[in-house]
Amino acid sequence: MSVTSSPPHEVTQLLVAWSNGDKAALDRLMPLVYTELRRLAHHYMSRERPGHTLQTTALVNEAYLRLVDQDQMRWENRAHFFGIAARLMREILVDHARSRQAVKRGGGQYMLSLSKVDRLASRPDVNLIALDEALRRLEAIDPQKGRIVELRYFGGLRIEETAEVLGISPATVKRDWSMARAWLRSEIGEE
Amino acid sequence: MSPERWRRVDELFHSALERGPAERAAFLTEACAGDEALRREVEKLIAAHEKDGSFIDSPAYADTELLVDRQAVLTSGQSLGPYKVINLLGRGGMGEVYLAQDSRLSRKVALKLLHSELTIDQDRLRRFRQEAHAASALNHPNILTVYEIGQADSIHFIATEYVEGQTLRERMSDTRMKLREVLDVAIQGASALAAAHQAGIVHRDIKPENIMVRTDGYVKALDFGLAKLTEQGGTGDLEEPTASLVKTGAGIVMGTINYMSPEQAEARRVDHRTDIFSLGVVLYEMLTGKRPFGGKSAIDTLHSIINEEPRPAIELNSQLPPEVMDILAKAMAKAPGERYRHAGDFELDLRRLKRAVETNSLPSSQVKAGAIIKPRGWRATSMLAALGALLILGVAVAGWMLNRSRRQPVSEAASAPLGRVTLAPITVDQGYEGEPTFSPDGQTIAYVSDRTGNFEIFLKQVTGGPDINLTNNPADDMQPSFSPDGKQIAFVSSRSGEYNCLCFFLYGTEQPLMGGAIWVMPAFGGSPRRIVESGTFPSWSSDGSSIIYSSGPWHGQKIYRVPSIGGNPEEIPIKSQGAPYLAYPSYSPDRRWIAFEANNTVFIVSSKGGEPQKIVKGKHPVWGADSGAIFYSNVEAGKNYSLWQLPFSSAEGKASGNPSPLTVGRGYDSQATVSRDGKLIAYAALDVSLNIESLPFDAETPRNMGAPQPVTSGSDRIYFHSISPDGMSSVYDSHRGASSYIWRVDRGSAPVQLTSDPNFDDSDPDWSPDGRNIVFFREASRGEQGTIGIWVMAADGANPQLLIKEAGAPRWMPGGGAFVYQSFADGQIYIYDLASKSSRRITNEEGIYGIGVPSPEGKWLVYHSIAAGNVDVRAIPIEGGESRIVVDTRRQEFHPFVSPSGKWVYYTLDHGNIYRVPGPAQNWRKAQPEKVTNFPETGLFLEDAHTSRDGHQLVYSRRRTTSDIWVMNLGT
Repeated sequence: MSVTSSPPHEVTQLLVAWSNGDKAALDRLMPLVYTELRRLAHHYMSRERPGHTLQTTALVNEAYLRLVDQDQMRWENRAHFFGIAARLMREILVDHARSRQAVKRGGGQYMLSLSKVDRLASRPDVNLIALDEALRRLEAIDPQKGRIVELRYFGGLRIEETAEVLGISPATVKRDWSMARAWLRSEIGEE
Repeated sequence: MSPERWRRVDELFHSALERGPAERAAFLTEACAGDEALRREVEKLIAAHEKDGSFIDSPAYADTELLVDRQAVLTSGQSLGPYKVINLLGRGGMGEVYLAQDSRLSRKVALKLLHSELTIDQDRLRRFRQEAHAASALNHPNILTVYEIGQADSIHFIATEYVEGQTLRERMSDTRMKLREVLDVAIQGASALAAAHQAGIVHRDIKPENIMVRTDGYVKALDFGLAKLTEQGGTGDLEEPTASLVKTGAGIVMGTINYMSPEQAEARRVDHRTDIFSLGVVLYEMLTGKRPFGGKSAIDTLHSIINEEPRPAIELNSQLPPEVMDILAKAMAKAPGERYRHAGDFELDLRRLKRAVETNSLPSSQVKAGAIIKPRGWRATSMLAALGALLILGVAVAGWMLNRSRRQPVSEAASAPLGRVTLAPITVDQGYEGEPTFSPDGQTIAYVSDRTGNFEIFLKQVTGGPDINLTNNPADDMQPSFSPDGKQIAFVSSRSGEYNCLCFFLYGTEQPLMGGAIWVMPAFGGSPRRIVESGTFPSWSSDGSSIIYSSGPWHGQKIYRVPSIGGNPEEIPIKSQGAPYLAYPSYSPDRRWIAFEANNTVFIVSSKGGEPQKIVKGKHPVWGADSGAIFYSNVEAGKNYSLWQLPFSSAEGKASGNPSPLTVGRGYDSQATVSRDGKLIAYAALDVSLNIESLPFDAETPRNMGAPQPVTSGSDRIYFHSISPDGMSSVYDSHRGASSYIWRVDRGSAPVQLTSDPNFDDSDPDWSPDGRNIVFFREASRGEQGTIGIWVMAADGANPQLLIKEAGAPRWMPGGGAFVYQSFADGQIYIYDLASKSSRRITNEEGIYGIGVPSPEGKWLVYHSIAAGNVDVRAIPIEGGESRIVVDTRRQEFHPFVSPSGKWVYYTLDHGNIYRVPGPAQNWRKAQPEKVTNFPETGLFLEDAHTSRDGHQLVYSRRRTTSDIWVMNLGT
């Protein structure tokens, strides 16, 4: 059986190349990180035991530790990695929410799948699909605010980490975050 | 919106927020200069910004709740050695604590289970035993008596004296402690330490959690010797240095380090004086409501213990007599040599101080004995209501239980003491009895039972007497609701053919909740009439004029109101975007509000509709008699689905106090109903089991050849199982407690546990065709990486070995030289050859859902897929080729398998009855699915159905829900 993760040095090199300005490196990097995050997310969502709550940062950290040779990395590369991971986490989570919503049957009769494998259903407080759509609209108007929400909410980054990834001041992140959050909240008419 | 305008909105939003609410209107009027649209945009954002409640504040993953709390290891009624469990008291760092009955001496005991990781080291376990027994043998009134430290069914436990009271932690955060009481507690604590130290026993982990305060004021120190089990490294002898107790991550988490002595924090040698320091810290906290040492991290805290002097207690509580400062200084000196030499000296000083306070003869003498110590910063709550209830139930309010929410200040209503409270079941049948509803006079309860084979509504006097079947109809009738005049009952029925199964993740046990038409019938006989075609959870308005209910599809449910005499339903416009369901709507008795449940949260909304507000995390809200309280099931971790009460102010439309518990959660306590005078509460306590049954069968005809026979019984929860080649034995996974293990049962014998490694959870076993081996799925019980995978062991459980990492769902090929499995890396199904130790991929598609099963001749693999949105059954040649959809009815088809001849593929539809369609030996001919079992659909739930190798036994795991109705009398 030979199902292994990508070797750490490959991801490391791509990250270094990308942060040195090689844009093509990102295209090769994304699928590698995506596969790993999906694998981890799948693992957690299908196998995690009751009573555990998982933090995105834990997941991303784990992916980072598995994918990246830390000795060769500088902090800014780590920040880049988190930046990528946040976007991917968003895709994974919204996909997951969509596929869950799709599991229902027609004819006015609805049922949630009840298999053991599916017992570990997620019940987000926020409608992720609606949020994702609103976030797309926000990104169209104000890309930086959209990115901040993505990093904070989907990537689980703190204000300082978000500032690091975007290369802006924490004060700006904070300010933009409060505006973006209020806008999204009014936009999707949350509860 | 143009970029310029967006920037303007952004600017004004922040500028307005910088101003106080009072100045904003004027500011915006000026700044917007008549641009009303701009102003509305900014005001909308400010309103959203200032709205209460969380919104994307925690990361998406943290919002995504991964199910309920771990279940307790033991359930009520279960025995451990001579102890019969009454209920779970709580969970501590060491393990669960139960109230239990000692069957030999008919006395109540507290039964503390020790986490398995604490008991691996036999040597350490022996020393702990010695020391705990030695301390207990001192027979000191302030040391908790240990009856037994034992082991049964591979569980280590401590049985101790059972104390009705609270831990000091609870006591401190509950109500204010007066100085006299603080001194009393400290004196008794010091006295316990003095006795233990004299016998050479050091506690090492004195903290408020380890001190019980009995209801009569007696103090009991707990867990002498237990620190021995939890130390990392070292041998635990007094001469040895004590390593830090802190270990984070998946291993032992020792809770707080705030009470450690400096020598402990530095991992230096400790002696009895470490306990004196720790008790000093506890005294400081009792006096000031603050811990003397703390920091942002464990390291900060340790640093503070070693290096920093605490803030003088008198600065935090100016009413303290200055004399207490001396005592604290002597107890909490950094160097052990500068502390009290003996706990007895500490005790003596405390006694002197207490006497001086009481006789008002302190040198400083401005202090009265009644001076109130400020409660801790995180607000006090009262438990009196719950205490009253629980004490009379004989349930210990021990410190481990009931971690109450401390979000709001306590209200008068919540703290009013209750009189006598009684609790008794009114149904005791096997099976399901639930959904109680009180008649307005509180004399009668209508409820649902499946005792006739389908769900019917029964009527019963609270004081006893016969159960009268009100519906007596072949259809299912559920969810009764008494009208306020007591003359009618609204209910949901499938009798006119409407039947939509809304299967909720109710209580974490997948309890199906039926929807259908809503009917109203006379409460004491007469013909029902249909008033709504499709709905669930009908509930009356207090004047009896209308009924509200919820209806509609998943993620599109709405709440409606219909005149109770029938008529057009009118939607109550509620902004509930995103909620998958709206359940249990009910009017407040004053009809100002509607409470309902969505997303495991209780909401209220104006009875006219509008924006709902989150009230509390919980399920199934019902109103108290005067709109002054909401009762609900607490779904927070550790709350056991117990029934809680939340004071509510109808005038303000919000909670007016802290929630408090009414029950301890014997089962899943839910579906409460309150009598009109508010004195009686009835609720259902649910429990769920899944056991294996075997049905004599012919997989080819198909013909049922008898009645199902139980293979396992009792309170087990079995999801996956496999029958031996000779058809005489079964292996299965038992999820009875927090862990799951593989068990084996030979027909006619008692079950035998095959795996028991506490580090692992084992599930999904499959018996090899030669009967010798069992493959199964194993994962680390505490989520460590790397150990998850497929293991194999002998059929008697011997010699377990890891075969494949990061993979699950193994199923043997017919020859026994290989098995198929799903890889977690890519979700595809592979075949593993034992001889060559190599894997080959079979499938290559998205959406494969868990298990794949080889056909008996080994040519085909049948498996589930969710690629099309529902769960369908597919097949693919194992040697390679295209996959095909075998059956897809747009419903959920589970657990496919191929009959021995290859002619049929069987599957379970929606976890209910079993169907078949033509299989490979009929060239996958298209045909209507044929139903082959005829189980009554009412409450039916089957898991992992398959046949024995000869096709003559159909085996499956069947869920049974037991539920009884309890009535609680809150007295006067």
